[in-house]
Amino acid sequence: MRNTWLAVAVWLCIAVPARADQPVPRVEVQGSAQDRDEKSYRAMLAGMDVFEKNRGLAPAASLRFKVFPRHAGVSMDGLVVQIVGERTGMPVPLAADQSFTLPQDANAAGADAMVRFNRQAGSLAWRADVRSPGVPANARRLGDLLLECKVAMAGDLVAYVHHPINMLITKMEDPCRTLPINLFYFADRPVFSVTLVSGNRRRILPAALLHGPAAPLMPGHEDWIFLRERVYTVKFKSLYDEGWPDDTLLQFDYMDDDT
Amino acid sequence: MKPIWRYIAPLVLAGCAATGNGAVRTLTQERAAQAIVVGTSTRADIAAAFGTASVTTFANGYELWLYQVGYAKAVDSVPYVNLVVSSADNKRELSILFDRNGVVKKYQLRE
Repeated sequence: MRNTWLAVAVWLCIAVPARADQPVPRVEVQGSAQDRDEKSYRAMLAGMDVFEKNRGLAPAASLRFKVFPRHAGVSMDGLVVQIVGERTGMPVPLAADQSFTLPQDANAAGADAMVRFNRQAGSLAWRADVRSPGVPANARRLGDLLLECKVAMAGDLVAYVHHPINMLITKMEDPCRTLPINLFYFADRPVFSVTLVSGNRRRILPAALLHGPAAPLMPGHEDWIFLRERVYTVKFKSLYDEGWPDDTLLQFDYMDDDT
Repeated sequence: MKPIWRYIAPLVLAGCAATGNGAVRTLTQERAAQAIVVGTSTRADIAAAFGTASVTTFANGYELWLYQVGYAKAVDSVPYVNLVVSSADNKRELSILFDRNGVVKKYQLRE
């Protein structure tokens, strides 16, 4: 059994790193309706359902979805998002920080509608954004981040190599908590260091968990490389095994902060 | 058929070699503060003190130099191997951030 899990995790780790090629700047082209950056509305509803079922991780938190530029040349000005089905066209209000919430619409879900941006496919990195009140501006809460991972898996938000085993992992009951998944988070600004803080307990995260792998193998399948200076990874399984609670804060020391 | 280890082994061996000249192995916070002066020390100063680092250059013009004792970060990108060993397990590392002018902006000795 252990070998089976190892094999599964191996494939996932193959999928996550990518190659060290310099990101190629791209000129943004408005794609046709069939070539827009979009996600399944039904899958995102499943992500919202996972959020509700796991509210214990972050009892007072709210869920939003958020997009980031995936390549140089992707303009975030004039971004428009809609729920689009064969007979559905529903605008979705987009906040200034490119975050949004989705309404529950049974007709759209039944019609295989898509959540579609007016950008070419592969232009955007999609993430869940779970925020508990009272968290300092320079910090994120561990339980919020775990919940973001669970929503991202259920909602099929994150770009990855669509090998059958990887796809299977994303549909498992709780891959974020039980497998060594490398989900890349974006800090609000370029980050130099991250420190775990829980009461008097403190630990600096190792550099290996910041800024992504040194030599990504498949950059075309990755959605984080363009924002590398903001990227960090959280190994939930080991942290929870070591007794770090949901209320643990990840405190960011940003590159441009004064020392 | 050539075994995959024929190709991976050199990468692993390279990853096992700690970066730099070995000075970080015994570096203390006090000695780090003497050797690294924020706002003053340059890339040349740091290279002279600690040797060749693993370098990450960012789009914002900043540069991160990383000295790791144990596995170098490169090993984290090697398929299969990255499940057995990880530079995240290293107990000691020195991170130095240079600003756009090549002067130390921040540093951190993790031990």
